[in-house]
Amino acid sequence: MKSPEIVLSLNEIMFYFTRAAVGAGLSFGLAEDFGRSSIWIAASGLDPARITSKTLKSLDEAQSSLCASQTEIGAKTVLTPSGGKQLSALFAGPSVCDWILETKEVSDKTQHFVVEKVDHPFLIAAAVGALKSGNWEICWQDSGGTLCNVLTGQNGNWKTSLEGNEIFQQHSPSDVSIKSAESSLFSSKKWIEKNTFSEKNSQDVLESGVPLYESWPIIHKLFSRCLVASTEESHKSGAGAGLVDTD
Amino acid sequence: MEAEKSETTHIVTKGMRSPEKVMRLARMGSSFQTRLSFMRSLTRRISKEKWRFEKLRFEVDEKGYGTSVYVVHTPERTYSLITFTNEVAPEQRTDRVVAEVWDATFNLFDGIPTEADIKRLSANTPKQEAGRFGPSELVLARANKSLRLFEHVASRLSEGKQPDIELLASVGYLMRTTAVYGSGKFGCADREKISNRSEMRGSFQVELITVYLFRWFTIELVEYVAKQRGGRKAVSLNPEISKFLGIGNATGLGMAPFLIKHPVLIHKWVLARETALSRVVALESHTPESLSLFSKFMFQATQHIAEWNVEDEQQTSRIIKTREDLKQLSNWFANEENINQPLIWERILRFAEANFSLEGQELTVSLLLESHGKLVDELADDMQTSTGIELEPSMSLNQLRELLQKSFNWALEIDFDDPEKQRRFWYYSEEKLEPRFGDRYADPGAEQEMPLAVARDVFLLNKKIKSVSDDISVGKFVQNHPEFRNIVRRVQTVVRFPYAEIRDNIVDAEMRPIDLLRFKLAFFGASKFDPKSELWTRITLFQGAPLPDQFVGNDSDEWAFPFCPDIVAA
Repeated sequence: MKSPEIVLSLNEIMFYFTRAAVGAGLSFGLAEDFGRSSIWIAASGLDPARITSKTLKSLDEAQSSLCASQTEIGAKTVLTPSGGKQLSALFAGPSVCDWILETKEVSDKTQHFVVEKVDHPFLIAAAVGALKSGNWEICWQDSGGTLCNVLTGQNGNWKTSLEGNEIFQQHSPSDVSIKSAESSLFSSKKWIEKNTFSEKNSQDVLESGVPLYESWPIIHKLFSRCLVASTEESHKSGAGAGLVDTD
Repeated sequence: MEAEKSETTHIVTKGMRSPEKVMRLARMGSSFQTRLSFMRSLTRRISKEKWRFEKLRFEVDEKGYGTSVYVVHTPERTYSLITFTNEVAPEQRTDRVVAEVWDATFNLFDGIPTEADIKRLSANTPKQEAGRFGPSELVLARANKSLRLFEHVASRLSEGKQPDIELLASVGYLMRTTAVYGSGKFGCADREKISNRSEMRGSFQVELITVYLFRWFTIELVEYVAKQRGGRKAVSLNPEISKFLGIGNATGLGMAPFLIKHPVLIHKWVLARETALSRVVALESHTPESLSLFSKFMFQATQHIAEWNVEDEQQTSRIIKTREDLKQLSNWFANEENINQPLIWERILRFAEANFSLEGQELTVSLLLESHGKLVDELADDMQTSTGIELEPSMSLNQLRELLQKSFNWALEIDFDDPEKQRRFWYYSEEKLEPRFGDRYADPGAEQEMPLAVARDVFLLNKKIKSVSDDISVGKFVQNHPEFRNIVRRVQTVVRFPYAEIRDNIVDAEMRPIDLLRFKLAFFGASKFDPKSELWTRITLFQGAPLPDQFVGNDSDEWAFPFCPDIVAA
């Protein structure tokens, strides 16, 4: 088994990933939401760099858009990317979360949300999971036409129809549907055999850290854009503490 | 929203000092430690729970260089301080984050380390930020000697003499930390790993346990070096002198962003202190015991402040004024007419507010709390939070506008069209990620500014929403204007926490970061603030606190305002 490039704490995941998103062109508020999604991925025992780096690159290379229009048609709300591009999950995820928080105050549970042409569907699930706001079912079709699902539960638990490396391979633009689920669904026959992530994964991560593999340099490179080059002047006058200490 | 509004009203009407008064930089920069400071709650816990301390390993050479493991056993767990000491060339000595070698580097380890752990850390800890750590390491830190005092103490003890007490008082510590990293930095354990442990209840307890153990280590180290030099002739430090030795600390800008990034936590800290003060001043009557305690601590504070001498001219004049304030307070207190009337504590506070400098006022607050431990100490248990900063997308834009007018008037009154009102900016340097404070119009990097300019961002948000229709939701607004998502989320959260926000402009041309540092360090329990510029300060930690073998009786919590022991060098 190959060695990780680095093992980070969850606090470092938040620090580096939030700023990597800023480095890729996201505003700080959306970048913080991305940081939280990255922590949710990491706390599940998955490599957040491997899952998110392509999305950040898509944004950085202007292949994905941060512009969309939202329309309501009966119980359905649709988020459609503007300008013919695919929609960045880094924008769509927080939009879905905002809709969930608004929907919680509405009694009509038939309401659902559709995000069209999302560049990385799994990151919508990560945003919803990180929100920790009850049971939601997130569905999309992968590039081969297979239906993929993620079901979020209480206490940060979640299940998915994806197996093994499939989670890391969800990079094809797809329409994603988000709808409220009954809490009983989590233990239903349909979901009983599915890949499950629980609070225990999170405890394990706190005891062992988050290993990041070959995609870490991409995150770090984007993060580095948030740093300011050190000059002789800023070295001397821009920071506290004495340059010489012979006290 | 109604419940949140009433919470604000409730707090303000309880006779507490208002956020408008308390959360100003000038007053924050005049703060003193109190009974609720984190060091004080730690030593109370050590005493109450009878923590046991043990020197597990001390493998150092005659100069004091080597590896040591000092252990503390709490009722439920054991923590180990693993320290590596080595020689440092004079030209390599610096207090800065950018340093690369230190006299001592250390970790707080979760449990007792194995040989393999120590070997692994010996290859990483001396490198500090350039090393990597894991969840078994709770803290990473380093320190440099006060060369003149360490050498003096080692030399005197080796000759069978106690150190010169005046020199000792002028420094106050044998070593000075220049960084103490916790909460997941450089791979160390996340705060979440330990936050549910009873001994970690409260803020910064794990960092302060580390510093406390390290203080013990520095005293044992200097005694050991003296013994190696002097053999049988050498003596140990007088216990009263040992107790008077704290740990120094050099604090730069790294602390400042923390205060802005954790508004709800800051609210909890200040709320605890202001609640404590309101409880004390609400007491209609007083007891002989409380009068006696107040008198005792006023005397200690007078001695303590008399020994507080710094090079900085501005701080020196503030100290001189504080000494005068204390003298006035003492005279007021000596007048029987004053102490024989009800509501003495409230009248003391009012007297201070009417006559004292800001430092004098804040010192008075500290004294009022100091003499009422039974009334206020339990508030230290509620100086933490798990509340995050959350967006409320269903709120209408009109409601958001009302919140801005109601709770952020102080920010909206600042004219940010004036370039001087945002001359400064905060950023991370690529050099070891050191936080720096730049001049927007002279230095490169303003486009990489940290999002800390709350007042300016509120000003810009207010300007923007004036141009947008009222009848949309906040969710819709931030979808259309994601650049405001961060500040909207903050506004919606902090309106429920009146002491959360620093009510000043932290990017103003005249802003002094040192005020932020002192505020935070006072909550830690620091004393002897010694500003070296507007960007950094030296302080003393744990000066006067009992050492591990000195926790006896009820006086283990009465170490506030330490002053030089009355001991003549032998």
